[in-house]
Amino acid sequence: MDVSGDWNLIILPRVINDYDLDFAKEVMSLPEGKTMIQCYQCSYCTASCPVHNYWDERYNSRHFIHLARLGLIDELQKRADVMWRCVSCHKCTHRCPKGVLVEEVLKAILKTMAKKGLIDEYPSKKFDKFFTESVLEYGRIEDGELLFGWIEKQGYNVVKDPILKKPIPFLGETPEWLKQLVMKPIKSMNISFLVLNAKHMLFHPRTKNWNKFKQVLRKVVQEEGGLT
Amino acid sequence: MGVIGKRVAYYPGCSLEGATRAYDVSTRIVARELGLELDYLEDYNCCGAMESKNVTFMGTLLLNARNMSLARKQGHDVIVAPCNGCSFSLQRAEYFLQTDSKIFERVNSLLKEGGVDLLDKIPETYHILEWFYHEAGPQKVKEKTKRPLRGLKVANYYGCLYTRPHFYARTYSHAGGQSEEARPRRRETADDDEHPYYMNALFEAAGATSVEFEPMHTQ
Amino acid sequence: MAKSVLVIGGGPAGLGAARILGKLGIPTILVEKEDRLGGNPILNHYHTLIPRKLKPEQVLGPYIKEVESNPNVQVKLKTELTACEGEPGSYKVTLSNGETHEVGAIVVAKGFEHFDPRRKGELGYGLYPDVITNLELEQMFSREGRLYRPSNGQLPKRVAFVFCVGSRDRQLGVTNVHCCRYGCALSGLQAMEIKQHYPDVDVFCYYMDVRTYGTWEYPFYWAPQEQYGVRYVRGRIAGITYSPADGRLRVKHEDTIVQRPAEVPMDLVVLVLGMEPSAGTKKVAKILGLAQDPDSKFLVPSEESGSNIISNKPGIFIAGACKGPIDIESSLAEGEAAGAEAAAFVGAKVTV
Ligand SMILES: Cc1cc2nc3c(=O)[nH]c(=O)nc-3n(C[C@H](O)[C@H](O)[C@H](O)COP(=O)(O)OP(=O)(O)OC[C@H]3O[C@@H](n4cnc5c(N)ncnc54)[C@H](O)[C@@H]3O)c2cc1C
Ligand code: SF4
Ligand code: SF4
Ligand code: SF4
Repeated sequence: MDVSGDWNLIILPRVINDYDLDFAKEVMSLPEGKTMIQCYQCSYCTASCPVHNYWDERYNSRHFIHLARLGLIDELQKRADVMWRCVSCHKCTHRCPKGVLVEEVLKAILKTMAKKGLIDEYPSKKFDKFFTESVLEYGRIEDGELLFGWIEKQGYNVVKDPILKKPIPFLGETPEWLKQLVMKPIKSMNISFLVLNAKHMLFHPRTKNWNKFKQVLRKVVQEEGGLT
Repeated sequence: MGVIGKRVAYYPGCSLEGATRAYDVSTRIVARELGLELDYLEDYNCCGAMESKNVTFMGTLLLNARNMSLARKQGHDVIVAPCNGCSFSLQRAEYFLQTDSKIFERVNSLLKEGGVDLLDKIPETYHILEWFYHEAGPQKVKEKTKRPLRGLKVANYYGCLYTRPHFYARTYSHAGGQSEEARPRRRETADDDEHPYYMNALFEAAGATSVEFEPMHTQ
Repeated sequence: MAKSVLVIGGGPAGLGAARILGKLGIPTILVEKEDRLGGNPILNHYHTLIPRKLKPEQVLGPYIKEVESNPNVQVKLKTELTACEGEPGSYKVTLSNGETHEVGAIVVAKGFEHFDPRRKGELGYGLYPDVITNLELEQMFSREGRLYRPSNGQLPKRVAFVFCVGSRDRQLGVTNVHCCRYGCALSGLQAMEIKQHYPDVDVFCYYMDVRTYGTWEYPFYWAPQEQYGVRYVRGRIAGITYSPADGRLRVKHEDTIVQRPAEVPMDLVVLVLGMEPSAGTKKVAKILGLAQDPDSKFLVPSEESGSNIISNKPGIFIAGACKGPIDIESSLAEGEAAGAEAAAFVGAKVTV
């Protein structure tokens, strides 16, 4: 007999009283979300997933698929803080016995949630967008600029050269983890590579025949709501 | 041996021409020494990596389709990429273009709009290890090795996307089942997906010793 | 002349036995309690059959025709076995029409009965018109050719299949702990038929396990899910209620994957009925002294034999659903095997 008095909590609405099937439909209308319907909840994907196994067991691809397929939005939102943690290792997709493109489906779920305003802009998405912007602009990415540009976006003070307005590595604020991460490879680098990378930071490598294509790309990305 | 082709389009990708330049340099030297030819893909663009893929589906396909189109223009059926991310992105695009005719048509019309040659054919992408292994192979590597890596112990780390997911890299049939026609291809040249060994074999042929190494990639 | 063989039950199993006996030239008596042959699939107007998606008439029609036209087979409708004396090789049987016959062997194929869902009161069958059985859904298709809610004649927006009603359930006593074997697969087929004709209807299957065994996995589980978007939700339905506010039913369950209680609106709920041994099966077991499972009362094969059609009585063979849930193809095949065994037992010399 429970005499704790917690009883009164029973009045909290715990019961699922409907599905939101339109949400599921929207996920599955995306080419990368199409295979969501095939899942039979065996959890092969989750058992293979490094994020689930070594980081946070609340990250559970199988579970997200179930929730999305029935449109249990509030349950998805409860997991919004972990849903974006996928590292795209593709173990899930590789092993799913049902042929679900799990990694893609999870991204389709996130995209749909973002589009419907059901999830806040999460850090990895911010970076993904930042990266994509750079690709759209130049056709190519440049590691140094990407890194320091991103750091600047995170609110660090990055020092730039006065003429080209390009970030000068390590002169401004640099997070400790980054120093550690970058110094090791730099130390072992051949001097000509260092020069090359410095040059690339100043003069971003570009795809030459790019302008016309860029416009089409931008249009497509915008249509998909990719940059909003 | 010799099913991929000795002369292929070379897609180094952004990183190999920047921070990981060393990889690019050695790739070219090794290929040359093994009697293989890498034809640099002129004016290529970024493959989009994981980041663009997470932001835009069609945009990322377009990025890769443009590179494919360049390869076709240079007369190639085969693209080789040394970076896991790049070979993944190209293979992923190949997968969606091969399995969905609507997507293929849309991509082609957008290429046209963007002033890029249409894809008359979808080139196949191979990872550099796969290419070395099949077009040269350990025996050739052994013959060509001038200073064997004797005494060097290597832990071969293949990385996430070298063999995964096989739907993109070697089979197209994911939704096939019994009723739909099974997709035609099974790529026999791909490395063992759960226990890859091409790099071990090539390094050992060059005189190094592979150490027992079971990182996350095969768990 | 070879001794004759008695076949009891004119369903798939009995038809299989009578057909092969007739073909082998053995004088055969086929008794059937009802006024026509074909067993449950014909008598109860099943619509489309798993696994080949044929009509009952297509599958069983040729058997019925062959049996009825073979001069070696005497078909006795509206007839039952009332008594049996004698010993293996020469049984003296009495039928309900007063006839007596001497037969060398007997094939028992008395089949099954549908579970009566009123025994699961919480599911509201008989109370809410929109709670129907899968048998009634078959008949809705076969007789009326359309899908509707009995309460108002309109097309349902959502249909739920409730698996394992009257199966795998100790609350019903020891009798119903077995799995019905056909239920999951038939639901997959019915769900697909709904989606084929009404693509906008959402279909849900509430399951504990999806037991589409063997080669049925793809056509009756993967295909409904992958090609028709049928949704499978794990959790046994523990109650069905009715909401006067919107006139819809609520299926009450725990979504065991989410681990939350759920009461989801549905317009039509289909109960997937279990199979129980028919009254005839129980009766004949007594008359012939056949071994029965102490709990379910299905007939059980001889402990000495590896084959499941050999009964504990020499010269008596058992086939089909009287031994437990089984599908039609296997019932036919078992009937044929039992018929051939019976022929061998009565010493038929067959030349081909
Ligand atoms: C709703 C439902 C749908 C199904 N759908 C399929 C399907 O699509 N495909 C499939 O493969 N299987 C299906 N099955 C299973 C299928 O019905 C059985 O496998 C099959 O009917 C078994 O054949 P049987 O001859 O053993 O028994 P029955 O079909 O039960 O036939 C037994 C016969 O014996 C007669 N009988 C009973 N007692 C006596 C007596 N005392 N004297 C004389 N005669 C007697 C009966 O009247 C009946 O004609 C379904 C089952 C159910 C409940
Ligand atoms: S492995 Fe595939 S089928 Fe299994 S739970 Fe994951 S997505 Fe679903
Ligand atoms: S791709 Fe993402 S979800 Fe899939 S196994 Fe890797 S980390 Fe997990
Ligand atoms: S076949 Fe399916 S519905 Fe029938 S009892 Fe077994 S699990 Fe339940």
